[in-house]
Parts: sequence; structure tokens; C-alpha cells
Amino acid sequence: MDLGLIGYDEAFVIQAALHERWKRDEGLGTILFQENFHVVTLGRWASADNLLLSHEALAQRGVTIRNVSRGGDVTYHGPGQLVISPILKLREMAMGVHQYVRLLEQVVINLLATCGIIGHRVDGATGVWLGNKKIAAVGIAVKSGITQHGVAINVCPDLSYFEYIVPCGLRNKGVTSMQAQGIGALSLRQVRNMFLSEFSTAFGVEIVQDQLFPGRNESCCLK
Amino acid sequence: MLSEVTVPKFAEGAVAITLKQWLCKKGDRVEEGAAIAEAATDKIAINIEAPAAGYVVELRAEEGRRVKVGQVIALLSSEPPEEK
Repeated sequence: MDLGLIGYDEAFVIQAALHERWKRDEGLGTILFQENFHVVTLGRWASADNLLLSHEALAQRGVTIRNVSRGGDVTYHGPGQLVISPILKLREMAMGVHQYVRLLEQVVINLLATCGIIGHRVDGATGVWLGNKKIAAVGIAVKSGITQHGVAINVCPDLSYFEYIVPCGLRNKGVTSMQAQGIGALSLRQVRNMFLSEFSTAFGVEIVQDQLFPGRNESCCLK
Repeated sequence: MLSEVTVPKFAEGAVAITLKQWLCKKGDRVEEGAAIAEAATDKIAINIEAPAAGYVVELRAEEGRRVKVGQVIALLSSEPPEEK
């Protein structure tokens, strides 16, 4: 389901409702796509030291701050970044969380490769990297065996917003985007469709029209 | 009847799982499927849920300590604790 440009809180309500839905409904889950207004999110056990500006200074720049239920430290979401949250029944997939995170990273690596960008993993740090710059950040939560949160791909965000934080609590590391790597002509919608295709292949699942939302191309679920 | 609460198998492969926080205490009544503890790796937050309804008899792991998949971290009893 593609929520388009949406506030973090509103999107999270939808994500939580989908999580509840998949506790009841048959099927493997769904994938939620969104682009947020400027927001800095702090993971469940994030360090406040990794915010480099005060709450007031961030507010003056139009950035809101939210404490969220995913693992991981602090990160930034904003326009030009595609946030992808698979709501996936790990138990039914017979998949461990570690395997899930590695496969999610692989989907992004494969997607980037189709654009000629060679991403890689870094030992001891999740996400997808180009050298020591992160292009996609991963942070997830698992409740009732079903995943929440996911991966954020920097397609064409204003990277200067990352200067207000220590992304993921990692000093001496940077951030980059597909645009900064010379892939400037892709829309978030195109990247979404590429992600769906690579996800389907890597996870061995079929992407089907969601019967709850017939007729909406943006609405899919997993089989 | 006693039931064991273990670190779920879906956490398998995650290195260094830390029990972050208990969401219940000894003597509490919990329902089946209720989250009773939070655990995490660096990027993954996991809820550990009660396998059956019951009363918390024993918490066997301390907050901030590493735990393993399959490790018994708590005991639940179907019988309420005796009044003292």
C-alpha cells in the first residue's frame, strides 16, 4: 500500500492497524510504502546524545521528533526518502529475524544494482552502504511474530537534514542517496515498483492485488 | 500447571539478544499472547509473548542481560499465587 507523502503519526496508525489485520487474516502480509514530512525518529533504546540540535532548533527547521517502537538509534525521514515497511508473518515464512534483515538488505542491494550502483553490507552495522556512506537504513520490530518498520532508501532527499543527528549513533560515517550517486531521474513510485519486483524474487512471494482495496494499483498483499 | 516462556525461535540468528525490559512482574496475571518482555539486538526490537494465560511465578533473566533463543526466561502458572 502506498501512502504517498504523509505525516509519521498518521502513517504509524495505519501501520499498526495493518499489523492487527494480519494477526487475523490469512496471507503472508503486506508492504507499506510512505514518504514522510521532515521527522527525526528515536528507536526504542536510542541515545539522546545523537541529536545534535535541541528540540526547539529542530522545530524551527520544520523537523518533528518522535520516539518509535523499532530497534536502532536515531534516524531522519523526509521528502525524497522511500520508507518501506513490510508487515510480514515471519513465523509462517519460517524465517528468523536475522535472516529477514539480511534478505531485506539484499533486496535493496539488488535494486541498486539494476541502477548500476554497487551497494554492500558493513560488518557490525545494518543497512546498505556505499563505502562508508549509508544509502538505506534498516530498523525493525517484531510483535506476535509479525514485522513492523523496515527499510528507508535515500532516493533524492535533502541530505543536509542528516547533519542534525548522528545517524544510527554511528560517528565517522556518512549518508548518501541514489541522486547523489547520479541516479537523479527516478521517482519514488518507480523505486517502489523496483522494490516490489526485487522483494518478490528474493523472498519467493507473490505480490497480489489486495482484496480489501480492489482496483487500487497501489494496494497489494503477499501470498 | 506450569508453562515456560522462552526466547522465540523467530529470534534465531540474531546475535547478542539483550533482554531490555520486563513488561510484567512476579504475581501478575497475563493473557495468552500478551507481550511480557522486550528484547533487542542493535536494530531489531522483539516482543516476547506469553505462550499461555497464567500468573507469573518466576522471572529468570535480568534486564540488560544477554539471552539465547530457546532459553527459558520466565515461568507461568495456571493457578493464582497463594494469599499470604
